[in-house]
Amino acid sequence: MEALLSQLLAFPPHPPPTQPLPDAEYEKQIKTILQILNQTPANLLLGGVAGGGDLLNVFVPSRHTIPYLYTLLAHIHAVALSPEDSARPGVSLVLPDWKLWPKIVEFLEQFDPIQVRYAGLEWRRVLETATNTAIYWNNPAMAIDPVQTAILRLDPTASTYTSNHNLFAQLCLLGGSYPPALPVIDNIIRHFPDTPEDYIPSVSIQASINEIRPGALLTITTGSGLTGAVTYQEFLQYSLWCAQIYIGLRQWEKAEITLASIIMAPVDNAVSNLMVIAYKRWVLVRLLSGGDAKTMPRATSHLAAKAYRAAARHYDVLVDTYFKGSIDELIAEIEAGKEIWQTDSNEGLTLELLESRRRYAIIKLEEIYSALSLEEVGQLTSALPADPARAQEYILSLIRDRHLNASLECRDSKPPATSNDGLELKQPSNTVLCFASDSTTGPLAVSEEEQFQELQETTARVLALADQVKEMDVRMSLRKDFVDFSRRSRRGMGTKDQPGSGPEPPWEEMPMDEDLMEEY
Amino acid sequence: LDLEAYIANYEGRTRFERLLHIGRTSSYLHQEALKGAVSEAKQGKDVGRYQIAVQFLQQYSPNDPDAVLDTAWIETMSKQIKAETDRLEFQLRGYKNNLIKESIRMGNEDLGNYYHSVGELPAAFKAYSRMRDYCTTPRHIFDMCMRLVMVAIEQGNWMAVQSNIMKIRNIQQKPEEEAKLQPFLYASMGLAQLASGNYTEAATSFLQTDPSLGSQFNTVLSSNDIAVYGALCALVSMDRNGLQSKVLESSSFRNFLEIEPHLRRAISFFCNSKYSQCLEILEAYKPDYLLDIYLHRHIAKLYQEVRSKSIVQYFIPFSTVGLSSMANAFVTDEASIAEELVDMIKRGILEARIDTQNRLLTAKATNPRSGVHRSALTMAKNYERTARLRLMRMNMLNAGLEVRAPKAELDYAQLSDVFSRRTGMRPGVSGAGGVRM
Repeated sequence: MEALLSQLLAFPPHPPPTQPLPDAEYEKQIKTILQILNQTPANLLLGGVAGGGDLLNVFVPSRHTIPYLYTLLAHIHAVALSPEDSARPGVSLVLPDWKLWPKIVEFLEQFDPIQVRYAGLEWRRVLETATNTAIYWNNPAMAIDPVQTAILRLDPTASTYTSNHNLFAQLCLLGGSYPPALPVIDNIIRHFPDTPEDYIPSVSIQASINEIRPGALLTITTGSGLTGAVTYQEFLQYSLWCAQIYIGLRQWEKAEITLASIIMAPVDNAVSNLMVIAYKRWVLVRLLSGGDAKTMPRATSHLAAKAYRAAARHYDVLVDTYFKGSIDELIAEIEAGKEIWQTDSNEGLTLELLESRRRYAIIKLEEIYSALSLEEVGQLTSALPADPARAQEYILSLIRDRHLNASLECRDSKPPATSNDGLELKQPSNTVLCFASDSTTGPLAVSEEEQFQELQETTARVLALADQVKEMDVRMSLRKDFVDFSRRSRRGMGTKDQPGSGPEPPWEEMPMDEDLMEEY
Repeated sequence: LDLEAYIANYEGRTRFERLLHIGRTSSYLHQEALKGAVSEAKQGKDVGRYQIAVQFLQQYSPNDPDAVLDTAWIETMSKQIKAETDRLEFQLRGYKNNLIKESIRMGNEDLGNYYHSVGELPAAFKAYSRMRDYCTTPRHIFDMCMRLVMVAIEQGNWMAVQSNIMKIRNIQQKPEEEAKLQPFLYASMGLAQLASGNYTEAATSFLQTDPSLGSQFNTVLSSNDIAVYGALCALVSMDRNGLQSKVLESSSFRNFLEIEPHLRRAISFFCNSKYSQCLEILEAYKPDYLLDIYLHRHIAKLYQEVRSKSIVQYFIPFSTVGLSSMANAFVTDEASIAEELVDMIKRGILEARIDTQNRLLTAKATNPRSGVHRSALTMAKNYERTARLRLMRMNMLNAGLEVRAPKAELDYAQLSDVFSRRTGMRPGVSGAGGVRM
């Protein structure tokens, strides 16, 4: 036992050497440890140290990640409910109680992300145990924080899609706790595991072990075990759950983009039901985020577009009524389609729509009037509650929530009072809503500096995106099919006699160059 | 409106049309006009017209002796028409058998002329169109197009009018001929454009009409008409500078304006910002314009446009204007001017906002700098959105994650089983699986 222990504790060297281990040496040592552990029977790991004490207390998760992992798994397998026992057939790895839970959490929060790449499958097993247990015992909120930490620890950008993302989104939705989801789901997915990469940039191995390359963690593949297999259904489902979270947090713009990406998913020969569900929700959310719900995103495939038009007729009618009809007509329309909204679980969104329509009517007034009394507002839009005091409160809430750039004034023999909440505005019938004259005055005024700031931030984001677009362009143009295609089309154009012309050097003529990066 | 003098300006079939229209619309002149219409019809060969005129006369003054249908005349006329039509057709058939192009062409022309005088306009149009195949010289084409234009004007077929005028324009002409032709072409073009509601182009056409038109065209329009149409269309479509240079200072159009001096006054009032006087003049002549066959349909719209333009012009120099002063300037009360203004703002032609508490109209403060910033930010946001969505889509494609219907061997139960094992959810909750389209 002691010999085994000393071997396991030998790696990584502690205290850390002044010169980090060369990569080859690092790999060799890790693989040795793995070999040892794979040959160790589980009982030995469960046995503990001579003189009492659990091995889990000996290994430090942040340093001896792999031994700790194997020991932990041994414990889990020892106590886990068998698939027949647990009431969920096919789902294994559910703990019968919470005794191991602190150890699991400790592991998930402190593991060494680089060591774990060599034992991906095991790592994922622990993650799934945590998730399944929490769900099984109806306490999904317990697992949210550990899982979030684990995912971000493995890949701080969380921009490679994994099956763990699905588990995490599920936890958040089941646990009803949405804000913790944001650090993970806010990251745009830029990479999928197992993408056939015809072109992998020649990065030094040193970097690939000790650094985490932002944007595309190429070590996350199904082969490494760090993620389960990924299908379109799972990804669409994940996106739908993300959209749900954003809707729950009322972040309409983020929800709209997520739903739009589902609608625009590439389609081969059939349209997924998930996409149709997403479309219906998208129509409503698009209205709520202030966009044009009549035109689908441009790259939607034709097959999908047909499916949407067929399935979502009622929603299109709703959109029309929103813009062209009065508030009462909208209420009637929503009432009439109540069952439809309920079946699609969109009833809440339709109510939001109504609220938004009321606001829209009042906001529209800004284009025509510079000041008008609250009575007139009520008459013109029929969007205010009848009671003047409540009407006032409603307008104040709109201003506070940054929908209206205006102020309420009290026109009276009294001097005008601004709309602080503490002030009593007497005689509400003389209250006047004054719209600010332009965007640089009024409560929502945006100063030069603020605008400049925003412009700079946006520029940075846009430039980053443009870089990504260029990278994608390079990747796509190096795919085999594109090369064949351009070869064929150039041959068809009869440019055989001018081999050097055109932006790309013809493949046949070019000298074999390892580093194609030179051209670009 | 002096009916006698008015109708003396015209000749030909248009006299009947105008008399009929006046008879139907004017409560003051209907008797005189309808009687005139009846007699005009009787002088011609158009039986249908006669019947219509009598019908209307019956409605309005049943006791007039002319109001009785002269059936004898109708019968004889119809017989004559039939006989003549048959003769011409027979003649044409003969020419066709002889295969002499020129006679076929002339035969069609005669037939067309006859149909036109009898009131069978579609048949006349067809006959003239048939001439096309037998036209050998540009002169022939020219004749044919002219006749087509005349028939089309009567029919109200403005597309045909415009296309035929274009054809005439394309024919090479000698300069003197061109000069003779010019006023006719521009006048009829303008008429077609006016009737189609293209007031801007109509204004241009009428303003370019040469005053040498005289009474050449009075089977359709008189010079007065050109003046009126041109002035009104110009008022509606041009701004002050345009009006000043192209209308008031135009040497050619001045001749027309002299015939209708009140319009010249109206335009100069407008240019001098005396909007109420301008509108007054227009209102005063409104009843007369409603009696014109081509103009009456457009009067309401034209007047509304001129009024809106005046209001917008009026407001240009101000940043704030009291609603009461606006109401005074435009001869109405505050409530209706407020309504009008709201409507104009909604249509987007007035850039201002109303302050209902102080009864003011305030100009929209423009802040071009922040406007530019805002549009830049919007553009950036749109780019971000599009780029993100496209990148996501391409990533999915690259990874082979397109939506694909499952192969036939795998049945649904297997699939759902696989799915539930992965995510731990019951099948059917998420609706996975393809919807085969």
